[in-house]
Amino acid sequence: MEHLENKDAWKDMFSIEEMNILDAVWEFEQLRAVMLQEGEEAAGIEATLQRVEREKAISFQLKGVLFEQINILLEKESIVAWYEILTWYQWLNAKQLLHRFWEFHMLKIFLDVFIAELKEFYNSQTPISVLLFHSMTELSEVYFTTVFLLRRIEYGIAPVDEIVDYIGKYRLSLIYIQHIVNESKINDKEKVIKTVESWCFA
Amino acid sequence: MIVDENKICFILCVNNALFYEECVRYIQQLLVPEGMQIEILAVQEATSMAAGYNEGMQSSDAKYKVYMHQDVFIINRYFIYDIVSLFRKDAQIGMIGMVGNIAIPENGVMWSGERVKYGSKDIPWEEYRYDEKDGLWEVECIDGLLMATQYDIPWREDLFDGWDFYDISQSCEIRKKGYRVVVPVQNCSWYLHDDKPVLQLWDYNRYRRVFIDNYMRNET
Repeated sequence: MEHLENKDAWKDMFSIEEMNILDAVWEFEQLRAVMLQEGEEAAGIEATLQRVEREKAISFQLKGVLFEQINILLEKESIVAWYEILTWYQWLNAKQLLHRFWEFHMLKIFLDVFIAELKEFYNSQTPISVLLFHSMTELSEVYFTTVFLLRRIEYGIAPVDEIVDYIGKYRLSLIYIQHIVNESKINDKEKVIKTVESWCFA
Repeated sequence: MIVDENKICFILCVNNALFYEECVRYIQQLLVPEGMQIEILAVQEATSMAAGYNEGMQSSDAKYKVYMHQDVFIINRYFIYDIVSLFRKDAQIGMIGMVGNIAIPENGVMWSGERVKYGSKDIPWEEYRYDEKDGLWEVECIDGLLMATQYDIPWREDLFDGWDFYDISQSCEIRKKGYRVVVPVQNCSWYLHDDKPVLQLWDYNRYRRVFIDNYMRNET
């Protein structure tokens, strides 16, 4: 990526938060170019660990500025905003700049849910549940709470009311539940989905 | 402090209430042998895993201590029965883990070597009960996801002031004292580790070098 030397020329096109992301990406790519020149492209565990060590500061910087921008977009509760998040995710993921943070793996699951719910929305006007989430922190809380509640079904420690209430509170769709079950560490996926269907979506 | 032979203490370094509460929920489901007492200690704001575990170790009089991650959920409801029984039958067992390495790989990276845990059967969790005939893996190190002990041996917070290599170091410390480190052969996993799909390896290489300098070079 070319560096935005003359920022004034770009400030009408990008917000401060977006510029911060672009700056971080540029720095990240500069570092990778330097490491490539130094021959750190070598494979193997030790070489990988050395690369991770050197990329730590810029990785966290990028994560921070990207979180800021995603939080701004989530606040908008709109389909267009989610498309923007999808665009950022796809662009940065293609550059392999996100794969070391679990939050972006989780975000990918929500983006998949968004796409699936959007199709349903156009087919049958069913609501898009992910539009109700307002921040990355909220996405994490909802994600893990859902996983925990669903897993309790598998191991027989599930108070039914708690799960039904939670799904109702956030108006979580069956599409969302199916995605979460399929992507998380739940062994008996069929049992869990069937149980939730009978409790909440019958 | 007088050691309470009939007490087991679960010690966790906690930085996420949601995970901690879920972890405790599974601990509370465990069957408890008669006369046995359970204690759960959450160490908040630990400066490192080793420092947090030392703090927990010093604050409990329990003979048996289970140091575990907040994202580990114990599924084997007979866990306490099984752990205590193994310790009581063999005083030479210093530490029990859930996953381990028969030999520590030369590069110090635990997950680059062959790891042991499972037996030859695959029994559904509802029907599973560990039998001592299932056996034990004799290992050089265990993964820090869960480490149960019957003797208090200090964690090397002087060397490992972060979140990596405290586990492999403690395995070496236990063996240096002449105790065995083992992993029960599991025909159904005793736990579920809800770890993230990525490894947080930011400082791993730094602590790997510390580990190699302090343990591997001494052994050769």
